[in-house]
Amino acid sequence: MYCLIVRKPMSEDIQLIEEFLRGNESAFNKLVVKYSKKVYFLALRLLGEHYDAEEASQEAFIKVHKSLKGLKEKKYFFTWLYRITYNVCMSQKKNVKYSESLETAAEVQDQKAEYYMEKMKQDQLKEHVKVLMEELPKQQKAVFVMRIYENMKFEEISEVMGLSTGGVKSSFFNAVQKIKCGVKEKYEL
Amino acid sequence: MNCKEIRNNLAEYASGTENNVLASEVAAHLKNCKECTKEYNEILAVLKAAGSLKAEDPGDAFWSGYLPAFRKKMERKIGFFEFLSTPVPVVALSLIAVALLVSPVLINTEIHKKGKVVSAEQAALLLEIEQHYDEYAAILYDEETLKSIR
Repeated sequence: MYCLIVRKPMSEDIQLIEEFLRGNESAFNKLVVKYSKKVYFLALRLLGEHYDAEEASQEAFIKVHKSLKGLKEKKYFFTWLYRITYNVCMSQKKNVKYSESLETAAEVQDQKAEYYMEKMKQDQLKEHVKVLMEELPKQQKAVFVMRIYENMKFEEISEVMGLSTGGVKSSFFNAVQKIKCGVKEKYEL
Repeated sequence: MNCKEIRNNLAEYASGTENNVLASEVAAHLKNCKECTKEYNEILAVLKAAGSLKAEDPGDAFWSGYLPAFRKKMERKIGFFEFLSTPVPVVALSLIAVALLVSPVLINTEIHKKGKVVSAEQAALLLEIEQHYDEYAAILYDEETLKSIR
């Protein structure tokens, strides 16, 4: 009698991590290539400057390279990578500001004056939201960025930032309220 | 849930909650509450405006150079740490550490004897002389030497 042992298929990340831990550096390169954009854009939204985001993202990967051996649950690699990125960004002492790296993405589809007026209002609203986001406290901004731009669940954000899920939800609520109140002072929503 | 509880959860709901129970309760409440619906629409407008802010992609040239730049940075950092683990710095650092530990013992202590400061050598000499003064004084030391020590 033969017994068929079925193994649960490993995700690509786990396979690459296992290969890297066996000494295969090109496996780590594949991880860098796979996640470089996500890590870079998270850093960009947290730090606001291209150069700072590039430095922070590479620093994060260097830390990952050093400590990947100690990661117990390899299936949580992505969350752990984000946590390192977040910590690297928070350790930078510069003010977190959005700069010209962020631009509005609007397309012209209509020639009517009302459309242009409305578009101008929307663009002004977006600019104002951008400014208000710059003024958020670091923690609230980080939660807001991860929720809105990275589409992360509150539980994932809490893992990355080392906060309770309730704390993350509270930070998100406060961030949204701050931006909303700031916008309402100038615009009708 | 009452209006206050609903409003506390509107931000989560508007950003796409994973909690189906919450989503159902909020949706049902909004059907019948104009004030909460107004609040929800304001939050939605804010999130929509924020979500439309695009981060500028640095371009293909940046991404094609990202991995080589990372590897170069890695090599510089590893190079430094590897240097620290080579024999010469290890021996140098060890010697410095040993010297710092031993130096308090090597420093000569000053001994006060009869109101005068003498070295440890002189103090030992004086003790010997005191103990065997009669025996040694005449043989080993002349009076001048004894006076200078005392």
